[in-house]
Amino acid sequence: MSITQPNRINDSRSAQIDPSGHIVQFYDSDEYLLNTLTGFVRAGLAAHDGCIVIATKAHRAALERRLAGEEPVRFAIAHAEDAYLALDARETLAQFMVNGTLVPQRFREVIGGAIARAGRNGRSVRAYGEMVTLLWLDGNSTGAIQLEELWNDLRESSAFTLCCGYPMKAFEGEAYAASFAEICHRHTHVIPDESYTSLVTADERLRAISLLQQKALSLEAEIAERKATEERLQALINMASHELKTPVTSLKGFTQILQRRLRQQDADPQTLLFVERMNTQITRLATLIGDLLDISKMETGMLALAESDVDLDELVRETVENVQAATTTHRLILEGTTHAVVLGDRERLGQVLINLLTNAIKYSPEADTVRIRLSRDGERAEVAVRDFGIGIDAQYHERIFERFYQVTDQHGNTYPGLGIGLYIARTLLERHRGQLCVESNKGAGSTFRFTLPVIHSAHPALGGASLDTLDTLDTFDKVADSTP
Amino acid sequence: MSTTPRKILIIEDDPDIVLTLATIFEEEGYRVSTVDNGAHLTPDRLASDPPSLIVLDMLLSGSDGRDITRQLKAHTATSHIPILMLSAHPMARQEAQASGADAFLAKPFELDTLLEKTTALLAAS
Repeated sequence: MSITQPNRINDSRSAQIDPSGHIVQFYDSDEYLLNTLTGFVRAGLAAHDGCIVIATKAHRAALERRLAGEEPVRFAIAHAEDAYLALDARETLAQFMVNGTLVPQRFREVIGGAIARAGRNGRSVRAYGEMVTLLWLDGNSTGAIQLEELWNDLRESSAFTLCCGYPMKAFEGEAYAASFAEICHRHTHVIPDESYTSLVTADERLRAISLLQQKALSLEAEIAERKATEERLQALINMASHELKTPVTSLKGFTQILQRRLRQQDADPQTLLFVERMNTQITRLATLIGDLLDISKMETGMLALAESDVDLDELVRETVENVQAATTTHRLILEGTTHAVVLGDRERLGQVLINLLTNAIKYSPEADTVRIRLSRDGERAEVAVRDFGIGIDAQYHERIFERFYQVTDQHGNTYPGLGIGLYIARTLLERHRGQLCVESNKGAGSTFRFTLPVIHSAHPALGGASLDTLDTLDTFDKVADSTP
Repeated sequence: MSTTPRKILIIEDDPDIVLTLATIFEEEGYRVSTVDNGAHLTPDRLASDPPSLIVLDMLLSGSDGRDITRQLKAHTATSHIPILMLSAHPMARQEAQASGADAFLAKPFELDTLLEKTTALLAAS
């Protein structure tokens, strides 16, 4: 057979497929997949086989246009005799998936039934399926591999040829290496995508393989190099955390000792004030160091969460009490309950709330209250922090969550800070599958609310029962940290 | 509280942090002893004159506060001594808990918080 047109190679190849095979066709473009599919079905109809196509609506329509265009009479007869069966992939999948789980018995009934119909009158059967691909693209790789296995089991009891198509873009990234190998392993024939099969001569293909081998080697080297750099960066950030905080710790310690002694000695108010200011500034410095380290971790993807069950009401109450203890200008009023246990990093969630509370205080210098309201809407728990301060014009509602964005007052002066607090808060909440948004008008105060998914309800009578029982003092959970 | 002042052992390698901790504990009426490196601190040696509380830095040059904690908590003569672990690493709380420490305090800390935790740990022991 002489091959002149590259785009017909896959047609002729699929026509020559081992009749007991399970083929996987990888593809870049739909056009290429349709060539394979048309060739696969065309060869089946010519041999008077029964053909089943379980595909998306678009793929079925395109296939049928081609088949009807090429051989209208043969296609019409096959259709009429059930020798051509077309099923919708999503609908068929739904018939044997219950609550996201494949039910093998239902699969055998649904697909086994279709194969029996197509195989009437002793016809051989060839099937093309896209259900595995849908599962894969839905992110359910385990389900896709399970379904491939169900197909293979079915092929043991009734002989038929099976073809699957996977878009190559579904396997982009190193993370897919193992599952890609798994998919290939589940098939008796693997056909590479068009970048390979469009090459005509054996020489061209050998060249292509050599180039790919070289590319694979150089990518491996590059990945190893980047990993080493990332590890060095992580070590540096950890070191910086320690090295920056150590001097701040002794500075803060000495300052507080001075403060105590001055109070005991009835020192003059100005001296006492200066030392208090020093302490406040050192605390600010510690917060800035913490924020800078957090942002470097977020930027480099190194922010790890230590997740456990967190009683949200309890965390909010403790955090509000701690912030209240450190402020004399505002009264923090806590209302409502969520009765929610959320999955999260207790420290980090506390950090988010501290950020919102200190912002509420900072941006409402004329007011004397901040309201914190807890509520629950089914599976979402909500915490809303409302202040009665300067407010934020609607045009800035999204910008305030950007990195390094700073709010300015009516004179164009910026408030102190790095402009990363809300960026960190939102990023932390997103990492917890939560959301953070703002409602505000210029001059009319602001409400920042965040929601988190509830994993189960807290039992009020057992409040704190999820704490580590070995830690009888509750020192780990009940006593506040100094980190502001 | 007993009539003889309670003894607190500080294991910390930064001399200025040791000085702040020792000063504040002494001002509160505790007896204080300090070690800058826990490498030679075996449970047997500690058992001869056990402190009422150990305040321990997680990352010491030459030794690891978590290893020291595990050793002391595994030994019957020292397992009862409460340990307050300090660290500048934000993720250290869980690690401190995992190693068997009784409480954790992030650096830098508020003196009041340090004293609250100290009192709570001593009252429970």
